Amino acid sequence: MSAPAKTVETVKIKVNGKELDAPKDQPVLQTCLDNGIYIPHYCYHPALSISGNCRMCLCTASNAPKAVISCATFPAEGAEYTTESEEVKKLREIILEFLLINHPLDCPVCDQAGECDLQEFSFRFGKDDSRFEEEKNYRHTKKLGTNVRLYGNRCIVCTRCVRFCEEIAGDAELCVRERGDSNIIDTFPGIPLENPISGCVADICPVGALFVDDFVHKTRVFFLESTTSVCNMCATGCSINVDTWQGEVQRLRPRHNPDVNDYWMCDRGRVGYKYSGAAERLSRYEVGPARAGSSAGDGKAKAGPTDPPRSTRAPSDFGKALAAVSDRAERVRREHGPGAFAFVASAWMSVEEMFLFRRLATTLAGAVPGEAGPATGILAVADGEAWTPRVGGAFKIDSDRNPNRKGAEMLLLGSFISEPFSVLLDRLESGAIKFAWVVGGIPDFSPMDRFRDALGAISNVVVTDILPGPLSERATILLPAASFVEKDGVFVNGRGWAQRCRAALPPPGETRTELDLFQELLRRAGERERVLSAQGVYAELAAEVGAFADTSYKTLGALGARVTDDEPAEREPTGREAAKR
Amino acid sequence: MSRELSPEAQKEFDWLVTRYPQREAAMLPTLRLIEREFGCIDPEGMKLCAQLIGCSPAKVFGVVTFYTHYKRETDGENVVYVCGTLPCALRGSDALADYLCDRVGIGLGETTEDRKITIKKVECLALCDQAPVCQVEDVDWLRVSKEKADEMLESLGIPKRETAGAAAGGEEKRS
Repeated sequence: MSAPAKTVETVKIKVNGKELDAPKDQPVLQTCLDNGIYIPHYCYHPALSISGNCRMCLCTASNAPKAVISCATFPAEGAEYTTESEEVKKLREIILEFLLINHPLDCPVCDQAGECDLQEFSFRFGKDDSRFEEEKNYRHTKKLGTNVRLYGNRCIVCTRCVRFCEEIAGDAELCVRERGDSNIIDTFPGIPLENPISGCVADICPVGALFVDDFVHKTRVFFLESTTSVCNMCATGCSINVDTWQGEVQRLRPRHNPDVNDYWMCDRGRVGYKYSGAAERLSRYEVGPARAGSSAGDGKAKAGPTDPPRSTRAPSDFGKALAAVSDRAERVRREHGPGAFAFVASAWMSVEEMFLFRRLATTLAGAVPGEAGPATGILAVADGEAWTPRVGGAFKIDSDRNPNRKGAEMLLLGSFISEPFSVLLDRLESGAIKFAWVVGGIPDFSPMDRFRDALGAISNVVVTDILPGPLSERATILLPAASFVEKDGVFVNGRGWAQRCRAALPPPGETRTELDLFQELLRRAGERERVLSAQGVYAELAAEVGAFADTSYKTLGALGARVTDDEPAEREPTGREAAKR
Repeated sequence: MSRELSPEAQKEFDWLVTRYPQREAAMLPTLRLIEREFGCIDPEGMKLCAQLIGCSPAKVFGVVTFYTHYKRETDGENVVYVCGTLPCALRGSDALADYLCDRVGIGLGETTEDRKITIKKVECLALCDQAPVCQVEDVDWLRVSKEKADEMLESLGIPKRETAGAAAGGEEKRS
């Protein structure tokens, strides 16, 4: 849990004979967890209000006649708490026996098996048998909303999901209905669970009752390999785990990062990996002849601009494609000078890629004093109104859909891009541009007509992209790119937090990452001795770009660091945090 | 079509909420008010309550389904509540419920076709010393034997069976 910066009032308590300074307004359970004393618990969640219904965290206290639930017990000066004794052990066994009374024990077909707290605690703290011989009851299995499925039988009614919907998502669509052993999580008839972060209820469900529909019966969780990374679906940049199995992403899960996303992520981000596994992914290097007839000065004269040009590209490989890029760039530079180049970066590139692309642009286009430099621009998805869903609670989803616009502003604006996009468009249409390199990497990108049509009339168009689309259709040289689950790099979110994205999978087919691609081209041009890892490139970048100075992959760590003071430092408080202030 | 309280009921509600520290705390009496106004608590009624109180309909739904004594739109004219909590269960409330259902010809929680009778199993009716207990509208039926059950059904218009013996003793208590 993130410790508030202001001084925390503490009291002295003893837990299992060990003396601890316990923050006064923090439950004993959390203090124990923070100090490495594990107490099993289901209903307690650090981001949610205290419910105290599962009884799993019972411990004994010197100032109470009976065992107390440590999640709802606040420390008293000098009190002694015991979490490891025969009595507590017995209590835990009894509680677990109760919790399992109506549980179907269908672990072999349950997707939670392997990361289930019922399994875990039964193994560590439970009994090996149950005295319950009666018939178990049946509770409904249903879809609570588009993304979430409920297996009522497995539910232990800890109400984490109910509290989440009320306190974090803010719409309070869930309730516990009925009473006693027919208790069941449900929605109001006709008002399904449709808030934009509904999938989080599956993350916080300690048992196998709630699942994100996308992950039902997909993989056994114990086979998953987890990679810490950062979500690429908007400028919030939620910390995530990318879980893979057999070369495929199986799911994305939010990772606790108190400064960025707390414990949550949105539903759109949660399935934001889908395009990376799409069958139509670009995975082959293709080189075609330079487009003829591009000498026409007036771009508007082109007929049928919306028809994609027929591809004349032939399959190639990494080496040949790079050679083609170098050769064509060389020819254009000799014949037309640096003013005939256009470089268009993307707000979906990592900062390392932007850094290299910037350098590559200078290398390929060269520079002639007194003459115009290459046209430059940056591709980004416009802020969509549809993409600013109302979340009643405090969790905010950035309206900016570009994961690294902030990084692009820091690395490219001013130093590399000095003209507005309209100037780039004018120059692309002027007929003077003979070599354009466009980096896409935006999964559902539809460029504006002017840009698309202008590309179709330029003799050499190098496109680096992930999926086929209007950009790749207009490429004369096509370079497949890696998606965010396949590359290392740093992304700066809308509030200036730099976080590391890590490769969880290799890129598809022969694809090499842009990091390799750009460095290899620079190496061939004699600008670079070696092709470095993302970490090495970042070190170069940090040495050169002021805002990133004194940071490295090591200092960024798993949670990232703030690299700009432009934006408010503090995340908006959510749930219990908000209530506390 | 959203439902509205009559001006008098609205006035009562306005007074009601002033008696609680938080609006949400006035949920139970508000539900009673809606039940009285509209004859039962149906989803529209729950929505109205949520709107008046200022919470989500789901929350009201949870509360309404927790309590057994709110009249629901699916309930018949008379609801027979059979207590199913421990003391009554030990004294045979399961068999009693089965018997009642059998006599009326419906399942537990169901309503007769003429919408006269609903049989529900409920949690403790707070008369554990008189188990097993039933309640029909506001009348408590104590130590309910088969004979007593027949008597109770008779009061609901279901004639005794020919084979049924003389009714056993046991007092009836009005609450």
